[in-house]
Amino acid sequence: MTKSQAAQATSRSRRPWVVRLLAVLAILGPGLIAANAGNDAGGILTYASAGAQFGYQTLFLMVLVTVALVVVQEMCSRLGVYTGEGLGGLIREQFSARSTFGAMMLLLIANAGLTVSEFAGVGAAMEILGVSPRISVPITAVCVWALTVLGSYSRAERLFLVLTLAFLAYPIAAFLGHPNHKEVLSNLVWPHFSATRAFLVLAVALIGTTITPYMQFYAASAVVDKGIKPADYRGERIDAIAGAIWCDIISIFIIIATAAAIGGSGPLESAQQAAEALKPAVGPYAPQLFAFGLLGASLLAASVVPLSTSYAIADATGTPRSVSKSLREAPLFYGIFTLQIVAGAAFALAPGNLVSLVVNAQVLNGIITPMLLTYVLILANRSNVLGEAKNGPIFKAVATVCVAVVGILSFVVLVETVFGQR
Amino acid sequence: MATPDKRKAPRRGVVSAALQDRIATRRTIADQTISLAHLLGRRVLDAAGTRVGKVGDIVVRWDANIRYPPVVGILVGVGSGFAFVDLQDVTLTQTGARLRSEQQTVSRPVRGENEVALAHDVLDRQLVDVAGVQVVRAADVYLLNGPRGWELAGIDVGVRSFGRRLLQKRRTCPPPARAIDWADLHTFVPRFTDTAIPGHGPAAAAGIIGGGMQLGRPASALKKLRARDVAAIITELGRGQQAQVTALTSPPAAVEALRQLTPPQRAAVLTELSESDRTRLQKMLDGGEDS
Repeated sequence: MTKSQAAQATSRSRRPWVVRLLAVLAILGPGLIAANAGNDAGGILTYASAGAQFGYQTLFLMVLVTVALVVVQEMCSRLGVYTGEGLGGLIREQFSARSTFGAMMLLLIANAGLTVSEFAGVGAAMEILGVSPRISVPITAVCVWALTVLGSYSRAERLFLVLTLAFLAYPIAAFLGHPNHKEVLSNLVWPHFSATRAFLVLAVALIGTTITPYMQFYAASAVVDKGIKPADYRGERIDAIAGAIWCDIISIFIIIATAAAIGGSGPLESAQQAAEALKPAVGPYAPQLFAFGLLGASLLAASVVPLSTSYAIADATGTPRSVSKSLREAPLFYGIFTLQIVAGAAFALAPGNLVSLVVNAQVLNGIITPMLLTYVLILANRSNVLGEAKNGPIFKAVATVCVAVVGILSFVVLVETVFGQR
Repeated sequence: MATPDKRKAPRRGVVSAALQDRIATRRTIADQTISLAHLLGRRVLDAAGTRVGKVGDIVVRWDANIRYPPVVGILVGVGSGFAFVDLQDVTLTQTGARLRSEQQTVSRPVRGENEVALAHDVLDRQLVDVAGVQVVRAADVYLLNGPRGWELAGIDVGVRSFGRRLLQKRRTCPPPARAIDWADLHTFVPRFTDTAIPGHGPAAAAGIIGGGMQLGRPASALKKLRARDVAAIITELGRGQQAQVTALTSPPAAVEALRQLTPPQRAAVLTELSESDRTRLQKMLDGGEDS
């Protein structure tokens, strides 16, 4: 440690607690937003599906997933803060061309799945409001593409963010829905897993929707964009951890509220059914409130998810990347973005149950997540990337266990899916 | 009856003189050009033609004042380790390397003082293209056999070049898709004073990581950049590199560029600057804001 660093550290420790608290609050943001991105259309419908199908049984799993989410988000934020680079660029610098290509393809597939679920979310929400998905989804796709490329999406984003506040009704509904408190507590502190294929698949979907690859790339890029420096990392670390915990608290409330309302009724059939969980809080307006919340969450992510894929891939390939560039200047960037929007909307229009399409997209994310987490783990373990800020032995062990457990679960589901139905 | 065309088409199997010239020129150029990505991993043979290892990296001598750094040797991957072979003891071709006689591999730190390993330090890294005013990543690095021997000629930043590295290597050296002359580039090279870390592959012998990189060229070209260009470049660079570019551009452009960043980004760049640069630029920033 140099003298100036030592002096900075000393002055930090002497600051009054109010100043320290203000410093933390000033940094709050990227981690909180990144983690809450998990509560998108896919997240809401998957958590609701978990509550509907298995009641409170998945609550302990969510506690474990929260630990993993904290570990992963912290590593990604640390990589962004100390290197000043996004994950795409870091992977390109630290791994071979083939490994980089593999990582980018995995991200593209995972995010394409998420984009499908966002458009399916739009379709499901508009269906509650009486508009056919065949009309709402294509119109939304064109609007999202145009707003993003023309650069006015950031203004619309604020409106979508406000719409997602509708989901704050879930914690209220969870209390007013008179859940069995004893059962909730018991399921939170003790595993009540079910040894069935359906439970295993849903467990992977829950992991996939909570620890999404998109969030990892977003968390690293967001701290870079915000210019958070290593000296301020303590505040950023609190933000990353608080964001991850807050996100999962909301998720747990969604499961509890849905379990109390329609728990044990089997797999979720429609978004309308998921809206039932909000009835204790808002009565007959539950479907409309749920629809607006779902619409906001879907629209919020429908542009951000494909955009983050384009940024990561353009960063890794070293090609121009920015919405401020023209289509001719950044053909790869806009090409990937457009492809995802078109494919997302097209798959969302495929005949079938929109909710099961969304949940299946989360299963795909869950299978891909451990593969991309391995890259993050290797990067955070390397001293040539993070120097002294690399993972310590205890953190390294915990992170390795998290990645390994998620990996094993995903592998089992993958094997089950490929060979189990013969 | 139609008039016969005087421009007679060459008969099948007969190549026109002009085409022969073109092929010969292309062969000559191709023989004098090596793509690093194409060469990496290829066989290194000894004088008797027996395989002794594979090409692990190409090492150039780094002198900030030389436009095109000369190649000084290659790193040969032998088992899990690397050995250095001086360029005068080896013949480089597009398809591999051949030792001129027995016993030339040297067991020494894989990269010595003032040497840069291209695969590790340049390939896939961020570089500042001063002519195109952009931050690029080297998808490939090209060597040219000039009058002074093999030297670093430029990089390729094309997506096609990156894509080629995913496929099976062809026999011939691929032409660059989007080449940038090395003279227009500013790269970040290891600080040569850093201590070695054992066991970290070919590059680690020359430097500690993280913070161990410095801008490897005189700043004259950077000083000509406009504030808007400086801002565009530093927002694309990684931590530490931003501060180096800021410090080396002209102070008025640097201050104007800093003003174009968001306050946290500006603070992050200022923190990484040396004490004297920080004080100087901060004073100019404050002065401008006061007026």
